[in-house]
Amino acid sequence: MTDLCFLTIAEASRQIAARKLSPVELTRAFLERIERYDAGLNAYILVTADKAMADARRAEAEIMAGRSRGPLHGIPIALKDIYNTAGIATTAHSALFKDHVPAEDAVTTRLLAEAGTVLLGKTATWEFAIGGTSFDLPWPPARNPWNPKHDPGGSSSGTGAAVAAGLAMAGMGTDTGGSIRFPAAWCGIAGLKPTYGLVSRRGILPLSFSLDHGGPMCWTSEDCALMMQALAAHDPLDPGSADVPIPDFAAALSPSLKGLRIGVPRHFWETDVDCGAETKAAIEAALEVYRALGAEIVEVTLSPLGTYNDTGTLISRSEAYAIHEQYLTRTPELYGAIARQRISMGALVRAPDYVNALRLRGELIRELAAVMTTVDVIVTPTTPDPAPLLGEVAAFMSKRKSLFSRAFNVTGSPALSTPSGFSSDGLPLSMQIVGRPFQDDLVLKVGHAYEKATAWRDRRPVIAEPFAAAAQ
Amino acid sequence: MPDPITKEAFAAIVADRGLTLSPERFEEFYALYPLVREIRARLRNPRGYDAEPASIFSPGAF
Repeated sequence: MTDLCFLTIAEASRQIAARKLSPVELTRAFLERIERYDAGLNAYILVTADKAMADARRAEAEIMAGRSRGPLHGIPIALKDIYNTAGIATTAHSALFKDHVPAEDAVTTRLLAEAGTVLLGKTATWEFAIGGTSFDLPWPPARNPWNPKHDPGGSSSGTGAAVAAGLAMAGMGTDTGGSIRFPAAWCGIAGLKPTYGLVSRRGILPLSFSLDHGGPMCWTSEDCALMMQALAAHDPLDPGSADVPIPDFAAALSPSLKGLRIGVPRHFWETDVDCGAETKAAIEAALEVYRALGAEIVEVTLSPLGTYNDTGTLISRSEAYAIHEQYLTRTPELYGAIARQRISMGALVRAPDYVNALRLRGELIRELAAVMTTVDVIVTPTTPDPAPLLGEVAAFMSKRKSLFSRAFNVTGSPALSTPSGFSSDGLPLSMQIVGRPFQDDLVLKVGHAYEKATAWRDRRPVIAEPFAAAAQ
Repeated sequence: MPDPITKEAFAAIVADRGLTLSPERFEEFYALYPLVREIRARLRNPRGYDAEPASIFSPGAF
């Protein structure tokens, strides 16, 4: 049964379409695997087993009646627990929202349901997508399937862990400073932060209005492309939504990158951040793979990573505090300590500082746009090092150890994380591929070509039993 | 590096923001404040009037 849970969406959908694989059988396999392993991984806050089986039976009946809805029909997925689900608790992993049951689905929840997916459940997250790996919340933090003593990254920690462990075929994360790409990196999966405006944010609990993005987390870039086909759509009721043509994401995938120009801001990891030797070696090896695929590597220079990070941090904390002020001033005790501290930081930002951060953001967007006229994509590592021990993220991260992701929330660019190897102790390493606005299809193509040229996607985490005991 | 702020002055800021902090949380928050001020100081560079805020990402800009 486990083998079914390690199929990609692309593989499973072909078998389902050929009526060689039953969505009911597939869903049952995932539910059994969740039952067997999730007690030690804590990827899920809530498993919606009855709904999943009902979704699967409906999908199977429709497919057998010749009414296929496409490649996501019958595919079991998970949603980060800040995606509203009608009639199903959406907690943000917080005591504050412990009993929050939305009346309506998020737009993305609805689109995935309309595409025929099967909802397995709601996954763990850093509290309100900002709180860090916390032990003072109603649910425990998710663990890293590659080594349960290590951190899965966040904030979409549960989705990252679930997809990597074969507890969901795909899932949804959100990304305000790297929260899709960061757990994708440490859990060894692919995760796409789409261009700002390409995927509706309506019905996803907000953290920072101008930096929030929803996007897919899957085993491969190809699977992210299949998910994006269902997710990308103009939403006139989302003020940030863009009314742009939607490409055929899967059709854009091809192994050849002949003529592609890849920009490399090497100062990000050579001087701006204290990046580990294994990460540096992996990114250089990845660039060699790209050369072999026909791409040209071009050195580019951007503002120091710290400038992007300062801008993103100041904006995100200000906007987060604006959202949470009413709760933080009335019931601060209902927040975990890390979320409370991080969000409260926004109370200390003055209005001119926020406006100046937005002005600098405009400059950074223009700077990147100018560089992107000379290259097709930019490649960086996603994180400076592989996952530290669980709960050590806050100590691990510092100005010298920042992620490489937040810069591209500031610019709104499409950005993909995909695995680029493994550390000496078996933890995933990853790289980030950044594109021009609304060239998400090209970003996925560049990720897909690399995945097809390397063997990293053939390796899955081995989850020992009894997992829960080993994790303590 | 901005000048340090006294606890009394910081307490006035916190009160103005409507936050009620336990003594422990006050100390935690007070320790955080220099980081916020450092970020603010780094972003406070002279800009021309044409440097308008980017409220949200605008596809028209490209």
